[in-house]
Amino acid sequence: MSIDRSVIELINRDIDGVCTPDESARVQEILQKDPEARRLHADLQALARNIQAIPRVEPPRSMKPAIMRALEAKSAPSWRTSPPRAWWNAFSLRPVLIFATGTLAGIALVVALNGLRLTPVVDKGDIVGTLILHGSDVTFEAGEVTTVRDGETSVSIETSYSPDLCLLRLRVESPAGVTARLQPGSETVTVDAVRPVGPSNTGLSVHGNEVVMDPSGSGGLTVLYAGTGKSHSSVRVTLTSSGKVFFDRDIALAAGERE
Amino acid sequence: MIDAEDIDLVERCRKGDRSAFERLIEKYQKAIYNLALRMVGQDAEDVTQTTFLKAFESIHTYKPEYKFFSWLYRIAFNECLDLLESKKRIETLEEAESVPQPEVDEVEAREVRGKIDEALMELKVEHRAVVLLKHFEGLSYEEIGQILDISEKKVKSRLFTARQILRDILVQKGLGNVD
Repeated sequence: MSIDRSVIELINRDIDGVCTPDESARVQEILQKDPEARRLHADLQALARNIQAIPRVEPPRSMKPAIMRALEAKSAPSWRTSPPRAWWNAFSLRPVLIFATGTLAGIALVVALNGLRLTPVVDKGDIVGTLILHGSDVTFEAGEVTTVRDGETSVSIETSYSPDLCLLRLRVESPAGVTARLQPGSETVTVDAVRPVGPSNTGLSVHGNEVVMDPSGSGGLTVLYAGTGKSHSSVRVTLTSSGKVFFDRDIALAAGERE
Repeated sequence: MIDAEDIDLVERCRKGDRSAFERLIEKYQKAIYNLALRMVGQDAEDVTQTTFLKAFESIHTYKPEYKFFSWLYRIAFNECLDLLESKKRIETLEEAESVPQPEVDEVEAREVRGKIDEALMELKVEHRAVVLLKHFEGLSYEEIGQILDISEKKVKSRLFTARQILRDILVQKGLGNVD
């Protein structure tokens, strides 16, 4: 580029609207004489205008509730801020606590042996972008991804699992939009948490134990299923686009049960 | 100019009024989310949430002589930089294409803006930041300097360089004159 550096700076200042009247007059003079400077000025002006005109995307509707819920969660348990006290101190100092702790341990053992567990029920409040996990140490193995195509519609289905928690992730690319209906095939599996994937505004709704992703073009969702026992259960996935069902199959979510 | 409503809302937040913080979220979530979207792509939602959580936690450190949104943007940009650093992510063209585009009427204009969006994602983070703050948010050199913690001189230097690089990228993409 043969334009002088000081001229480039002047043109940039003009684009930003910070030139003094004298500088502005000088810019006009340069633009009249120098076609290369004129081209640079026009390009930068158009560039600025086009960046300004990039449409803003609406944040997900779930954003504000999710932030407020996270704030509540952070501020609630003040006991967490105290350093944990060694449990054996209780035994050495307070014999009555030995009895209490033993009783609690016994109850916990009975609960575990009977396979009892708190089964969370999903409600609209859970669809806020926060995953509800059972324990912090849950990890999923590498997912298996299947892509279903129908014309311009593409849906990738990814499944992962741990012994009692299964994950199903759908990513949809479709000009016409896709309705995804996910229905657990067994009462031993319950919908545990749902969240939109990525910065999409995917509309989600829950009917009982069934999740429906409303037609909204591109987007995605992640569904966590909690199961009891070994959780060899499946989920029925029905995908509809433009009123036509193009995928309707059971997908097994646990080891050895994949189709 | 300092926004009187923001000062009032911050004061109420400091006194524990959650509804005041909800109002601040409503007011700025779109701007923060859109900036984050163009800085970190698909992680924009997480960055936006973390930004507001950190803002709430450190609201007592906000000084009313600065604009609230400048302070908030600074938190957001630091979050973006931390995320990019931790993931050592290089934003690729493919990721840029994943930024959702709302429907616009004119196909050609959408195509041009799409290419500009892609080109933005090819810029280095420090260049992208000044371009977005200047042209996407319409901030002054001084405000950008406050947000990024750099001098006005450096803001100008980065901005002019970034625009030149952006122009070169667009020429490579076949958009000689981006009008």
